[in-house]
Amino acid sequence: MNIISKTVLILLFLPSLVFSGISSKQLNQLSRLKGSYKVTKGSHKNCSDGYLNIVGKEDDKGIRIGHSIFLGPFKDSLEKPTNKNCRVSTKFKMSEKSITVKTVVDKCAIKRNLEEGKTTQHLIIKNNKLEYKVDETGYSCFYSKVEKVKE
Amino acid sequence: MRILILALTLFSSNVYSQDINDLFNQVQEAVSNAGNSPEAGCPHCVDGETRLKKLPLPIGGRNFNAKCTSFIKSDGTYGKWGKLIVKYLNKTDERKERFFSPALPGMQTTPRSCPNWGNMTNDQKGQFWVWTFASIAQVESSCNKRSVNTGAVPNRNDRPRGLFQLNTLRSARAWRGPNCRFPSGAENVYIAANSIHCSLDIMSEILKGRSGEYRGNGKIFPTNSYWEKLRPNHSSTGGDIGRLIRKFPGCML
Repeated sequence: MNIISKTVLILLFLPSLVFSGISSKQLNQLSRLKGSYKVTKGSHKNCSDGYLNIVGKEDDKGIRIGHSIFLGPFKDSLEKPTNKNCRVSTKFKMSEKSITVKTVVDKCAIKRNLEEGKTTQHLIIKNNKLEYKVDETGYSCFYSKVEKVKE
Repeated sequence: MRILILALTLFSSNVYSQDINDLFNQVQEAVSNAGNSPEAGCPHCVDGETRLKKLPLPIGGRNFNAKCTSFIKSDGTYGKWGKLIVKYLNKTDERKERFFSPALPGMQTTPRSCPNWGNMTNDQKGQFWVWTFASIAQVESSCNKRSVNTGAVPNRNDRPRGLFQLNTLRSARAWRGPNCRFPSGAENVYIAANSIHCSLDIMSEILKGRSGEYRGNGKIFPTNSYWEKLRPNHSSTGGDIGRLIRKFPGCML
């Protein structure tokens, strides 16, 4: 295999390496975020105080804040379409200060359920403060870590 | 109890004072959360026997939608959804202990969700749970298994759907319990069995109290619940869901 072919192969696989999932170090970093959070500002009534926790088994693992917000899974995933459901693909990306989960729902067998579309969720981490936002709906919540909240 | 613990402390160099304080706090919390001890007898039995009394849902007005008869039929026997619930509850000893515990917080203690709880048999408690899930479904969806929240939601790909308004996307609900890991998609949420079993997993987690994922008080309401209307900031008595639950005749003294 010549150098050009190898380079092309590396470039093809590089995005999947970047988006392949969470490392132990990153998981430890997220674990330090666990605790109670109070909403300081929000664009939607679903912004509510809540507990942040890492939840789920291996392939389903993600981060939840309160009852309404879940970012995950912590790895790229694909649910293939069937005669009952759509194709659901997610891409996960994490940096030191943020998590991004992109979800695409397409190839729906039943169109009337209005399931198709794209959602891009972000969790931005700044010291003991968090911002959660969704690009497509403009939904955003700002949180500050506290001792304890009533969820 | 405390004398025993003290004795163990003197003879064990591995018990630290912090552990003992934690143990005392746990014992105190368990005692304060316990309900009354059960009394003998079967006050709601028919003709002095132990057969289960048939208790139909009140339909119409501010009560239940006719679709809720899939939980409990008009003759008071279980509908197909009610049978699913009872089968789930009785499947393992762990579930029976959790859902039929004689000392479930909030049943006979505040907010007295079921004052007669301590007198009920497991079968009667099963009736209570079917009635409870019918109450939640009535408020969440009017017992319409194809209900969907078409309003403003954070994630348009993940609208709350079905009897209990669960996530459309598997990834968003898989963590709630093993029965919540069914595939994504509206049509899968609309399968009543999927929604019912997942909701039972959610309720099981609620009943675990502080040790559960929701870190609540172990009561049905008011508590840190998946269902918004059962949370303390919504109502201390469970709102409309609580109102419907308290109509269960088996809970009345």
